[in-house]
Amino acid sequence: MSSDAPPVPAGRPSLPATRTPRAPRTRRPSAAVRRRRSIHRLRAVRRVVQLGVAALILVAAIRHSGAASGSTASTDALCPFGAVETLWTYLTTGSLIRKTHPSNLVLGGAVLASLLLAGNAFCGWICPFGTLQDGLHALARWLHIPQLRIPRRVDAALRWGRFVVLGVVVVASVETARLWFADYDPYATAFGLRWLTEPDLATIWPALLVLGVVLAGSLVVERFWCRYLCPAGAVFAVLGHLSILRIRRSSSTCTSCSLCTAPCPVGIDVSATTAAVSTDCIGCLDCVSTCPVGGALSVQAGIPLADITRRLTAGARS
Amino acid sequence: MTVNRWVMPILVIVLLVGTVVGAQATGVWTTTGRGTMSAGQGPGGGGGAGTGDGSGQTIKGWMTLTDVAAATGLPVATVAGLTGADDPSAVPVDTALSGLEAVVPGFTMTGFRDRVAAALAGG
Repeated sequence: MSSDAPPVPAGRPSLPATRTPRAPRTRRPSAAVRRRRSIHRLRAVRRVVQLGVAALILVAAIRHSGAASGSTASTDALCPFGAVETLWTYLTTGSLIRKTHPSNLVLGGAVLASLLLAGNAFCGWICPFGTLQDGLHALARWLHIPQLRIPRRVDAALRWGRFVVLGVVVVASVETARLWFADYDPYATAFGLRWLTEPDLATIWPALLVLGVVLAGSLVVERFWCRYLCPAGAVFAVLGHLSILRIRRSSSTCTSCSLCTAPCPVGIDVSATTAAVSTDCIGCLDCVSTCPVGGALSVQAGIPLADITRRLTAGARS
Repeated sequence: MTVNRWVMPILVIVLLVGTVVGAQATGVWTTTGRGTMSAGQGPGGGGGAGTGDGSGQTIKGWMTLTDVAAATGLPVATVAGLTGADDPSAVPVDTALSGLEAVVPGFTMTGFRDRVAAALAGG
């Protein structure tokens, strides 16, 4: 072959010198191609939604840090978890804890309604801190940073950390009657832009430390914060049992190929699920679109708590 | 019953956006404490002169010296003096407290709150 000729990839026939008009494509793409397209489409839409919400929050933070900050929403005011932090004080005294606003209650109510109706897709599609973690995971993959494989038992134990954080945050919020968690919350630190607009290290170092640990953790464990520390995730994990729509696995159809387990951002062993996927699920739907067997894994409407009742009944029988 | 997988995210997005829009339309959507405070009422929601819990912590960065004066019942000149400025009369009374740090050397929200609380306790 002369040096001028372009290299021809092995196993691929070279194109003819003159191109003949292509015949109209009539053959349907294979199931594998359709599945791959479906995965890409879902991920693309999810990324657009996630980035859109994150951009809205950043714009709010930039406006809030401006001169007329009093007239614009802070990142704290746009967090549904604020509803959990202020709920006890609101129910017992009728007033909100400092730094929370009616918007927190509105967002909290909306997220609760969506959770009960459509499962926990808020974390996978809306939460800007989840988006940041997804971005870090993509960066880690790009940089070939090795991912930490946490044994199942250790992983299960660490997930209780969310409930510990939730307990501490709720008690501290009630005791101090202010948004106590805002001083440590990595979401508020990252998106509130205080590190940029008021870089007062003496005041914000605890928040920066927590954010640094969480971001570093997210580089080696996908969705590190969501898995082990997010207090909102603890609430969703409990209330998710009441959800009407959930991802369910049909054990009679499933071939246990485990393809669905690999893409799960929060490390759920989807292929080992007996019926409904764990309430730790963030509703990204990657597992559903990855599943090659029709009907093995799908979004289904069901009676809330039916799975727990079934499991308890089976346990009592055995 | 199996439903289309897109129903899950679409429902969540529609519910969130719909609730926020509905709350805005009905006036429930409030994202700052500014609209809930009126003159003569403490920033913390307490009635009469004072700073809510009396600690000054409820003085917000968006408030101007005029707002603080109205909320605490202190004269504007006194409040301006509490900023720690060398020349209180030169302190702009209609600038948000968050913006005073750039105007008044050494001004901090924490110090200002403490001085307001002390003034209220003493006066």
